[in-house]
Amino acid sequence: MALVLMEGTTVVAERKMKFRSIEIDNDILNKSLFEFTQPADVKGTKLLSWLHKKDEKSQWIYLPSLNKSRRILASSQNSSFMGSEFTYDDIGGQNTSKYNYKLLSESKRGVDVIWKLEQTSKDSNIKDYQIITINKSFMNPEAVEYYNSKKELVKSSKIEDFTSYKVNGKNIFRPKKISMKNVQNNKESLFQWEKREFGTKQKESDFTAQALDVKK
Amino acid sequence: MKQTFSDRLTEKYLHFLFKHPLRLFVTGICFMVILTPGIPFLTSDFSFRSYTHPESPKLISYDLYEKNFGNDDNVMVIVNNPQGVMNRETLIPLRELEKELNNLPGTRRLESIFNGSVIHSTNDAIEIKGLISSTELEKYSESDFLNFKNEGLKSPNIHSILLSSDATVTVLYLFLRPTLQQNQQLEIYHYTQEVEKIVSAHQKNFPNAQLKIFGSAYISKSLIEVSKNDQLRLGPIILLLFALVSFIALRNINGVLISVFVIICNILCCLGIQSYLKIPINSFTSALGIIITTITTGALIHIIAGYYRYYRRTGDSKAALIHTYRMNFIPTLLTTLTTSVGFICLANKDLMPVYQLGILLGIGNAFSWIMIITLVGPILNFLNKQKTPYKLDASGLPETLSEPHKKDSEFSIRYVNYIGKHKFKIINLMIFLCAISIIAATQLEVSMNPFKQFSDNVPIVKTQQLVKDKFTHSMAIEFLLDTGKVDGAKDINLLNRLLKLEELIYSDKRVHKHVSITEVIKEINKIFNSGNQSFYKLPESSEAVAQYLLLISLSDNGKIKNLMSNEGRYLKFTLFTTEENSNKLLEQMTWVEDLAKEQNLNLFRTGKVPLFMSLTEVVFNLIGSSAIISMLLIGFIMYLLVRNTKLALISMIPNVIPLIYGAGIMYLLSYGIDIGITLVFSVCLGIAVDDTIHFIHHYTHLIQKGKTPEEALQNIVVNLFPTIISTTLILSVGFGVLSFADFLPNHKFGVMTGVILTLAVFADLFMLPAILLIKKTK
Repeated sequence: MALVLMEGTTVVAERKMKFRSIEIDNDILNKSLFEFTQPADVKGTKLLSWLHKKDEKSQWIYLPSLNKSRRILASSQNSSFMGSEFTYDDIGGQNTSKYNYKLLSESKRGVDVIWKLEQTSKDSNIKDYQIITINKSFMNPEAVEYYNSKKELVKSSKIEDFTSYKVNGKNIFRPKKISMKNVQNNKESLFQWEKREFGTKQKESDFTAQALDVKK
Repeated sequence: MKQTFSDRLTEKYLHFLFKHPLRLFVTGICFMVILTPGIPFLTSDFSFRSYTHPESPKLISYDLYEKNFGNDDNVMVIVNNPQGVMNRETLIPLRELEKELNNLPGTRRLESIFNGSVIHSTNDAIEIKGLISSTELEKYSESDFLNFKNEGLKSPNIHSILLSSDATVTVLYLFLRPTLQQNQQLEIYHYTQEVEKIVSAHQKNFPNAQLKIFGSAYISKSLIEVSKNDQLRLGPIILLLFALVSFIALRNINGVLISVFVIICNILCCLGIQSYLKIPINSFTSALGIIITTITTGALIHIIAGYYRYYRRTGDSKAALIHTYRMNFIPTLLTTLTTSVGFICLANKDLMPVYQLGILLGIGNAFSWIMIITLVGPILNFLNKQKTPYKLDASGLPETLSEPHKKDSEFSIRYVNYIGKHKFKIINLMIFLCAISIIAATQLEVSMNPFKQFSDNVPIVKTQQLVKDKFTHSMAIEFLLDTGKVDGAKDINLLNRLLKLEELIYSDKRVHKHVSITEVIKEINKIFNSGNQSFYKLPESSEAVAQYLLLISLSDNGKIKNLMSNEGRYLKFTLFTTEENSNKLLEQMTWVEDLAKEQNLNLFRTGKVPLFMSLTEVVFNLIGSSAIISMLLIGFIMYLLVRNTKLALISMIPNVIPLIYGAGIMYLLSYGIDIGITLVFSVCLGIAVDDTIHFIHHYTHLIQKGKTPEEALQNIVVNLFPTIISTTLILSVGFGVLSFADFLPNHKFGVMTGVILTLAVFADLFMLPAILLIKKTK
């Protein structure tokens, strides 16, 4: 997959990486592993993240030039992911139990049923909210608008190129492209997948700090 | 006597005045009607950008900086608690203040003690986080706050930037949206107003602390307000003083009202011209009204005083008009020319506000003459009764009595005798004072510090002193390092050379600290190696640098974005210095750039402060060039008047000498040369020569009529000196009121113009008669 950072139509940075994740059904919701492949100076750098049920996150980073890994203490979920317009919250898989949802509208677009939901935080101190457009056919958001406490549009996300994957006999849809545009500074970030697989067997031991240090 | 071209021109005007007074009046009104509709479209620009023209290479380099690192305009909110700021009582209200400021639409980024990040190692885990969590403030103990204070003072990102050494002052930096993006054009003024409102509302939440505002954006706002307040405060005073002095000079209320009317018409025309020429209102052009008022008054007094002097003696309004215009039409035309030339000589695009003011005053001054000749004559003709019958002469104009001048008084005879007796002493004294002034003038320095544009009673000056006292440095200079290629900023060889440069700059004791990416990389290298101090250095490879930067970006990308451009080509390097003198600052910047060249680094100054200070050289050159060009052009005009090279040169002496004395007085007053002073010399030369033109015009006229030099001078003492003294009084007082301005360049302009014009009148009263008598002796 690639993470592309853009300003207007100009590409300012592009990072290619391999991404693997497993979902776990205990205190840890999922474990994910990014391994950077491009640019060359960060090739082999790995970022391991565990998302815990209570919304805590554990992270480790491995730097190949130093052949060492270190644990990173949790960044704010709202902080930018690698300088992009995505936050950790955006990419880390949302914990839906943190939010309230209100159905705003249901409409049809051809054969597709489109839902518009308002997502607000259960934390009364957080006044930001999101308007999520869900395509029932994909059972996935296809657009998200992010509003601040002043009801101003801050960011908008488009989720595109849905592809069907068969996992455990079921068809699931996942996008090949997610873009996030900051409407205030005209910067945009893209996640793009060239090749995506679901339902493949993963070893949980690959998602440990010890595994990071093992050179392949 | 054969009529000259100027005589013929005067007669043509007089014929038109008497034949078609209404047409003349309507012409003047038409100018006003055509020009004034432009006024509502006037714009303003008090930004740093307004000081240089759009194609200047300096602005281009600044735009490169802004494109990569955003607008360097900032507002600093300073929290000063003598009991210390690292406590719950200060930080909880600061958190609330920060929230509200962060929500302002114009805020691009906010840096404070809460998000000023520190990198540290906790149980062998790397943590990059803000010094203090704003959400946990209520839970921290006293010892926690003490630890945060100590940690903050150890962190190079926080100490002396966000937290003072004694931890009694913390700063909140608000960075504004870039000005390059047209659809997000930010009104700096309105933004800082909003910040002021919010800060003012929150002050009550800080019982032991004072909140102050500073920063480049706030300085821009202060420039606007100070200029506006100066105009509002001083404008009416000037008008009142003018009315009072005019009444004393004219001794006629109608004369004062006519003068006020003409001045208002002229100001409206000038503002309309300003709008059509798309010249914005800035710190300098906002003085247009005051300067035009003062200059127009001089010509008005000559004409109206001349009219009423004749009219009071004869009751003959028409003859009075003819008399005053015959005496003043050409001199006022020439004085208008010389004054306009003086202003237009300032037109150097390298110094935009002075260029704009010079153009406006040059054109406005010309319009003032047009207003005077189209409006004054017809109004005087209409308002004042013809008390005596009149006859028309051969040319069709009302007859005038021949020269109903006041008889030479005993005073004038004694005065001229005294001058004649002491003429050599007067000249020697003049030369001696000139020599001392020249020596003093060579010690003058250019002073273009943008933070020294205000008088001491403007609040921002005290705030700047607080920043200086608490943070040791007073100036932050930005440099840009162009690595020449994408990701060049990660090249370890380049970074090592940058590190070498950073070591070398501390040989200058004025360098207080610096901020660059090397500090961040050294810090993360140490922390990644379990906090081992021996690793507080750059890593071995460019790959390690790239990977460290990736690591930092996971937690705090703002830190990197503020130091390195997105594509990794440009690095920002900030130098904090204690130097305030603009010349020495420029030298310091050049020294740093030269050191960088030795390290094979392409480092160049950028940001608004160097942009402003680079005008130092321009200011110096402009004073020299405009003074020389003004003198040459005005000398030529004098030659046209007198048709005698020697007399033309003599007439320049009482105009140039006061400027030299003025330079000496500037040294005594410890005035530095700044943008305001660039106006002084050209303005004063253009105005001072007005009285000399009237003097020389009368003198040559009387000599041609067969008078001796002594008789001519006696006549001038009686008939012209009162007008010269009163016009100079008006001009000196008018400009002198500007000495009460809070905008320092205006203040200095007011003081120096008042002083130089006063010296110029003494030159006309003593020096010029002495020189003319010496010439006659020879």
